[in-house]
Amino acid sequence: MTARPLAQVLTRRLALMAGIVVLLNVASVGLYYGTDRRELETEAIEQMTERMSAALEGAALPADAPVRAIFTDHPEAYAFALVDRGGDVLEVMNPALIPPVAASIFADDWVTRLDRPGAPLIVAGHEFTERADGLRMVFVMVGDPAGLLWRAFLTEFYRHVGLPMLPVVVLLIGVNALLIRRGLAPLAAAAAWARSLRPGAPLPPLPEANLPAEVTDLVDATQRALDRLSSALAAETRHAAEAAHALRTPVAVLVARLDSLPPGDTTDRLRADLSALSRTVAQVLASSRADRLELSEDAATDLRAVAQTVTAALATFAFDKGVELSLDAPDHPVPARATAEGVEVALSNLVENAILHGGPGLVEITVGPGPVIRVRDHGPGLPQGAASEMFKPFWRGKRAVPGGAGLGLAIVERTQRGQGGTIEVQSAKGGGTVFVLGYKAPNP
Amino acid sequence: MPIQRKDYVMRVLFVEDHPPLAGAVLDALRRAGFSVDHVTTAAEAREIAAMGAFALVILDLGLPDGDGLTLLPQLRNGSRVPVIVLTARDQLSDRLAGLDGGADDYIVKPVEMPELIARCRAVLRRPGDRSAMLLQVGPLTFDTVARHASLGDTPIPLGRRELGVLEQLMRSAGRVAPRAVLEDAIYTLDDEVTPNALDAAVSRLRRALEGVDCPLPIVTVRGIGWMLPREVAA
Repeated sequence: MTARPLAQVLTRRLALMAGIVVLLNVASVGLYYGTDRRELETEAIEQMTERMSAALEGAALPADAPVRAIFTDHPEAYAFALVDRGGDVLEVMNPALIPPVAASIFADDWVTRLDRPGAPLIVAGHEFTERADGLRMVFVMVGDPAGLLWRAFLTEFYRHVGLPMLPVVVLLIGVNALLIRRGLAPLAAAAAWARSLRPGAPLPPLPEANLPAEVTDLVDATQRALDRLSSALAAETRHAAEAAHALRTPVAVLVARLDSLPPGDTTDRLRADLSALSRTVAQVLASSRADRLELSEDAATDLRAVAQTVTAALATFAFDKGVELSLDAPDHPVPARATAEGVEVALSNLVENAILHGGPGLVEITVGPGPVIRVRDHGPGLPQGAASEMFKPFWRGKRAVPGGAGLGLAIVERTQRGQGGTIEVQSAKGGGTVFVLGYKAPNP
Repeated sequence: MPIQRKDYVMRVLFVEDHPPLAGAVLDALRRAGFSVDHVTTAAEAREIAAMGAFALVILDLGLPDGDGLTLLPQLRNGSRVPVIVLTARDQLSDRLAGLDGGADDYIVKPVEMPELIARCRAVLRRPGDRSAMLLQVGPLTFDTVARHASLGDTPIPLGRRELGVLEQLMRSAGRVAPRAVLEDAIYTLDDEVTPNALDAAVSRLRRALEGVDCPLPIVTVRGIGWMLPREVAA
């Protein structure tokens, strides 16, 4: 599920609210006019007189005026008569509907309603006062097959709801959408600021000084949380350094004291034990740091350079164990999105592992093609079912030499996971095991 | 086996606050023929460094009254005395900070004493240093002035290029000498350079050492270079 922008959500809610208000208004107006039939009839009659007045040219109604259509179409429902000042009928259609007395009522505007079986008879009179000749019209309506009342209702509706409300609603929604967008802009700026925060790194400059109180509060809270995180990180780094010191120093004392012992079998064995202990201490420390490696956006490490350093550093160890090391790397740097520290820890552990468990013979380290390092030994190969288990802490192979802690491969796995790399293991063609460290290409 | 040098005594300033470790390392350095002054704080180190001329400083980084990296330039005080950092901080960033901060070598504890002593000797024998006349690794001896190598009392007949390679290998005994370093060592001696001149020189040197039954082999680390181990593998 993707989150929708807040501005869009708020604008939609506002539009929905406006819609509901308009609907309520429509309902109440509809209810009002729908229940007041007389009002509608008056309106319908007014519309008819207006149409008639517009169609009249001089005193006579032209024979082809469109206003006649309704009387031609519905002779049983509508009738009119035009009467002059003297009471003479100048023009009439469907005279049967018109009560005889109607033509002789001299009043500007009148409406009367005669209840009859079926539909009531509505009779209205109107004098065209805008003309000077005293022309009057009598209009009769029985039922409403042409929907004059419905038309009157729509007109009322348009006049009282559409005209005053719709422009206001549209304007309100538009202005609000704009204001919401502008109001939320500081929040977007604060979010961009928060995205650029990195634990341990110095705080980036704040987006703007004039942030609203709520956003300032959020920024302050984030800053405080980050400060606490930074000090916790610093404390942890300090603890790791103290632990390193506390663990390494006694081993260093033992190693230094060993030098004063006379040479012999016991001394040699002690030396081997100490070197295993020293390796385990280094692994425990590396393990405590494995997933704290920070990978910046522009991290780029030359895998070839790290592989050269690691191979050279472990050459003596390999020689002591009767193992030959070989590095195969291209002539050019091989950049990867990783920290040099992480690659060094992972590769050192893999090569040490191969030297210790791969039996005598060759350990081949290959860099590339692409951001990949392979470590291959020529030992007995993978034990049955080991591939899924061997990256768990304290896992040890059945044939493993005594003295190891089973941490090496777990450290490799966690280090790789920490920097978005991969570790794979497979049996090599022709015997032995291949471990593959995979990395992403650095960001351009 | 520790290397013995008896030609002259070198004064070493050893700054380390951990008493048992200091005692053990002190013993080993003295057995190796160094004259060692030992102090436990940064303040003492500054004081004694101002008074005496030392050939070498071995510096612990975590001192009770200050950080060794801050102390380092003060101990040098304009002189070119070599400084070896000896510390429990093992991370790559620490090592880089140490070397960038002017340390000549950076050694992570724990360290075997023969290795520490060899690396002390290595920084004392930097080019231009007159003390680097006689190199010794196990039974192998190399006279850098007379350009002459021997195994015990048996002289080893070697050409100029082989001597150049052997000198570099002995200077970095116990560590890999990168191909580029060895190439520099032989190509300065000749005008004509062929791509596999180094490989040929190494293989001639190897045959010559086998000819006198030298117990130390030349170890190939393909892709990096060659190494002369300090001891024979067990």
